[in-house]
Amino acid sequence: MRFFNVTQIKTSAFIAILLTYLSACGGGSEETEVDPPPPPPPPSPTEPLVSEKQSARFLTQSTFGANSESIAHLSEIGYDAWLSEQFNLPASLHRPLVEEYPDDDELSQKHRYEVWWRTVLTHDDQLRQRIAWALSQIFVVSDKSALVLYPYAVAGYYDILVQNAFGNYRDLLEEVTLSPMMGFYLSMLGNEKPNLELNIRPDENYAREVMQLFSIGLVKLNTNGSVILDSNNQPIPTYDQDVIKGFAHVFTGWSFANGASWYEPSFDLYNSMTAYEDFHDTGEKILLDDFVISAGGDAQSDLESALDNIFNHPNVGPFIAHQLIQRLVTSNPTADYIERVASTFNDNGQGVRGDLKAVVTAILMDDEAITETNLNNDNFGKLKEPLLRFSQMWRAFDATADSGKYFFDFSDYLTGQAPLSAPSVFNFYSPTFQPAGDISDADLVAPEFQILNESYITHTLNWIAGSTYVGYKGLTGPDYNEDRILIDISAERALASDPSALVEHLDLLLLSGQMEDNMKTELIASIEVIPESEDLFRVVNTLFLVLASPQYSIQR
Amino acid sequence: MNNKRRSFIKKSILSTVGSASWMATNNQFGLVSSALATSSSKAGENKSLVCLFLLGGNDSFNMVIPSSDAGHATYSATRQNMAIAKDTLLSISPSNDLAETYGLNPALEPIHSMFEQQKIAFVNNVGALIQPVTKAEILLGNTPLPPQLFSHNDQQRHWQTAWPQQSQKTGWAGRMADLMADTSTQLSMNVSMFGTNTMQTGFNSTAYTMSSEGAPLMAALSPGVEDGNESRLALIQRLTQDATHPMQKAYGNTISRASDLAQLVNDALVDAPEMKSFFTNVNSVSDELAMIAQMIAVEKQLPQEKQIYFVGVGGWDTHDNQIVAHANALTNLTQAMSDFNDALASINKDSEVTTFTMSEFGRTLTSNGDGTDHGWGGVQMVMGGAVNGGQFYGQLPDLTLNSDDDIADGRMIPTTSMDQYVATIAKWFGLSDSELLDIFPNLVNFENRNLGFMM
Repeated sequence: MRFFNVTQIKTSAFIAILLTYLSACGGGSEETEVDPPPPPPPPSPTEPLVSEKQSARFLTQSTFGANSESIAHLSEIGYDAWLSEQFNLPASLHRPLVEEYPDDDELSQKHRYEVWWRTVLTHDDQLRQRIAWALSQIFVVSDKSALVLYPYAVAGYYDILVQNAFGNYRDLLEEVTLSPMMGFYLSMLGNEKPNLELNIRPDENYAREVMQLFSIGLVKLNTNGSVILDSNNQPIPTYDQDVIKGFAHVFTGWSFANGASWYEPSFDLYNSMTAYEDFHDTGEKILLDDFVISAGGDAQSDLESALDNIFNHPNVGPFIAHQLIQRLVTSNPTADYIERVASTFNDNGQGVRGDLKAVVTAILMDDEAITETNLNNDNFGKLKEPLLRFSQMWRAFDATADSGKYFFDFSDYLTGQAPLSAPSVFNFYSPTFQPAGDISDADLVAPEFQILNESYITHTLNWIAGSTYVGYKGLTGPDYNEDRILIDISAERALASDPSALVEHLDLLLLSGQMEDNMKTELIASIEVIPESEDLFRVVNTLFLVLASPQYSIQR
Repeated sequence: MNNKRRSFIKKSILSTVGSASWMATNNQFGLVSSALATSSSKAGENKSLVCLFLLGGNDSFNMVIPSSDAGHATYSATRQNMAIAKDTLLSISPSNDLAETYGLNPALEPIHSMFEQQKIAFVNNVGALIQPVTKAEILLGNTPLPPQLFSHNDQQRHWQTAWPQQSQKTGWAGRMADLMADTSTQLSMNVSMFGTNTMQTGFNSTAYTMSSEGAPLMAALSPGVEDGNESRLALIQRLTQDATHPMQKAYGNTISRASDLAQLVNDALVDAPEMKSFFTNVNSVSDELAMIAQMIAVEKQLPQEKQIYFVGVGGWDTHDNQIVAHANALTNLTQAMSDFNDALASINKDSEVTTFTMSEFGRTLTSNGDGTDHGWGGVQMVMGGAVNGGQFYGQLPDLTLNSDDDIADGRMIPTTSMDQYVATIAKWFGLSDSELLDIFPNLVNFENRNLGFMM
């Protein structure tokens, strides 16, 4: 079941509330007094290394959203120091925080979502969390499966991604492969060697998807991500059914850690799966590019050889580079950009393959991501992911709930996206998705458009309306509850009497200073028709318009 | 909804349709569709197709099962611990002249009587093909096969596009809409309850996405909901019109379309009878079918004469725990189908609606221990008053392991192409024989282009 009744009730109640609020119109009369805005920060004593606009843009690509402090900080210390700072921050793990919720009948995935939101909105290791989020869309497990029962353990899987975000891809691949959550999700857990008498063959599920989705893809690629064609101009498959069989045989003999026996599983949902040799196929296996594992190996040695075989395939660099660039920077990177990042994957400059810290640096520090040239390039950019739209809004305005929690457990219903909750192992969208019309006609891809449709955009904008018109600190009355996430707009209200200043301020915070003149003119005019005395309504109305606008929604 | 609100919404639809951003889009569509020439099938009565896409690959050779002693023994020898016991099968009497007797998986109990009442047909061993192919030809390697057999997304794409050779990813239902749809309205001929999908994406058309709740209005943008919405929406539309970035334009157009169509659809749905009470179970498929039944009930108030609805049904990728999971999936599906038929019968629409299943592949007849892996051919169901039901169509395969129908491990080589299957439905929907060949480019490779299961 894709929609939970509770979310439907909550949402329709919310819409009713929102409609009631709006019917009162104006909006300025209902709010209570809030504290005066804080004084502006003192001017920076030295010339910034990075302009505020560049800083905001970099933070949009690399974090869950910029705010005034983080923009100022990056401006002051520069990209290199900022990256180094981020690389050295301790990892914020999710599972320990989810485990603070008692393991009782109430426990559900909503508690895991709460911890995800709390972490990405308030913790300092922003880059690590952003990369983990990107990795979670490649190495997909989903709670839309039997995993729904295990919030702690799904958070534990997410922590593998958090902990390896700056590590080596090969280690990440092995941890993911042996994770009991992945073992459950793609049925490698309990996969046995063949039984010819009963026509039982090894399960091919993980064998297939680890290659198709987590590492090399279906067809051979050049380092720049372009498809290699044979003499008949046809793509060359990376593997065939025999290779899948080979890997399926490799991935036999693994089950929960430390069980008394294969038939007495421990149900250890956290530790890596362990091998039960009697159930591992020890025959010869043919893997990628005719690599052969000879007969007689054990489960662990076969696994190491097989993962090395995948890891060393030339597709991994361009395949992973392309998708990480898509998650962070742009849907349609040039071949040169992919090649630069893939080359870094292949060799970090010190002879190491698979160094994700170097890959992340290469993606974010590339000219294609950083220079202003691309701001006028209509092939550059991406639709912001739904969750990043919300996180950017909440981080920009220091959103908190009085409970100290961040319960936002129906983003899937609103937007088609929630952490580790894709419809299938194929993620929320395909890296090659092309919406019909101008984008497809220009032969561009736009993955996030796969979940932008009439239904989701309506729910998304209704949620943003609720988060602005009736979502500010100081709100009282029937709309208020202690779990309601409220934005702090005191600084913006101080600017409300100066429409131009308000627009410039929101431009920097939300559009990295990329707002075009037509939009500024439109917004200023829309502010001026609201009486100056209604400073709150001026702010929330403008905020809604910015957050709903096409220019905000496309990251450039 | 009160009258004042309704008349207001009508007025505001007219005003938004007249707005510049939409004129531009409509003109563009108009040019292309006039170039496509007018379909012979444009005028006519209301008809709807409802596609139930079983995502993940249905182990459909466990739906219709040989029931003679010898037949079931062969089946069991191949399927081993995936076999359904003979004494649990539901007996059926298909009107075909068959050498073997068959029974239904007991999990299909909800549609058992519908089959006997000839409202449901089974189409056997259908799959993705470019042209007819035998095992010997496959082993020889010279006959074209669909790319990336056994891969979920590629085979879903094949079933949804019926055109794996194209570089664009247009779907057959989208191309039908390009050909047949009334382009004077923004409401697409294709309506999806499962978000954006390839099947309903044409060269010039995309599906309208709604949900089991219908089409909610935009609290702060939909005209008529609150003061100020008109000017906010107009502002977004002006920014969309001015945008040069194709993604900004596509995003902004989605808002306009959502706002306009929510009003249009809601206005019609006001008069729809309640339908959820027909459904035994509360789940997403039942809820979505209930909403589709409501849409069909008010079809005269909707601008398109014909609609194609898409419902995605998850839970079929049974690599493990198959015996339990597959039975649950089949029962939930067929219960929802049977309930949907009752809902349609209550408004006398059951003969103008054809409901059919698709799934990217069948599964291996052999077991991987407690489940099955990705196969090829499979069995599909077609339901409705216009179906020549109570029969089997297509050849039943030899379930013996390594038979001429088995390419490996019980992956059945399809003997009927999905093109033949869907073309038979599309013909009933109104396509001419020549239009069928345009929409299904590989159909030309198959002699029999009408399997006969539609009246």
